[in-house]
Amino acid sequence: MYYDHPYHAPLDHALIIDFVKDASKPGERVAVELSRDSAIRLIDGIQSALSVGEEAHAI
Amino acid sequence: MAYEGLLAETVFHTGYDGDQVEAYMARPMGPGPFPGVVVIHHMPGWDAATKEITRRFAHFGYIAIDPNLYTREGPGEPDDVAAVARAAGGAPDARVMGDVGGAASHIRNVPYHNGKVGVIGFCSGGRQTYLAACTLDSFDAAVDCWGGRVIATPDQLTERQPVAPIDFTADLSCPLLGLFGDDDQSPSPDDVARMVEELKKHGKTYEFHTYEGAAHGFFAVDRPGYRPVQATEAWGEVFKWFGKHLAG
Repeated sequence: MYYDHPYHAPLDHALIIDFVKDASKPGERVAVELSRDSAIRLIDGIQSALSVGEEAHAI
Repeated sequence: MAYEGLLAETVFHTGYDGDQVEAYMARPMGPGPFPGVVVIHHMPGWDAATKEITRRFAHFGYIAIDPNLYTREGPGEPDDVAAVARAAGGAPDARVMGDVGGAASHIRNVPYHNGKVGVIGFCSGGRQTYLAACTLDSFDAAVDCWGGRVIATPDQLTERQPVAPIDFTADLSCPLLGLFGDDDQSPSPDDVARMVEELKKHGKTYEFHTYEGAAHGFFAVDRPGYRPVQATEAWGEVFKWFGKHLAG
């Protein structure tokens, strides 16, 4: 995960998240490139989902 | 002079440790002789934008070669290969210098070359350009486009990038043009001022231009940071610089 120049998104900088199966194999990757605002919304969304899920399942 | 007819193709040249490195090469159609330019891509890799820049040099009468500095991390799509290189900490400086020097030698060996080779790089490639101009004797002129971390703090040095390029300034072996944006933070205006100080101290030939209202990467036509007026002016400086120092 890094914040730098994206490859595809038309942004100067983006948060890039690589989901990799094997980091040494270029084809085994799913990537997302997010603007800073989208990245922050994703963080908030994850925290909210975790919090709701923990409450629902009494974890 | 502009050339409407170009030849652009993938080639292989010898690089670091004798490895075969893939490269995108473009040249004007015609007998030449033409000057050469090595184009160093940025951190996102061997992408379409850098190849377009390579063709731009050919259009204006240069043999241009853009080595894929992530050849060893491939094969694969350039974005995936760049992700592997980035995860590993970027391309090691020693390997990059071997590849960039090899690309320059490849140009020097073609029969339509005029004997002069320049180097230009963008972002991390700007840093590598500074390093190449200081540590290789392959070049007759260099252009650093907003290279970050030419000046590095000790915690920014790694096994792969062990020395800050500015520490090699005494060895700079060709004229250096620097293009920067005054809204950039990598390098910041203070970093650029420190580079100037170092170049002056060692009596080097250099020319730096910092553009108002421009930040990092203002040549990139597909990003919001594109600044057409500043970019057009700065491209003019690139061709003036190479025109002056790479004439046969």
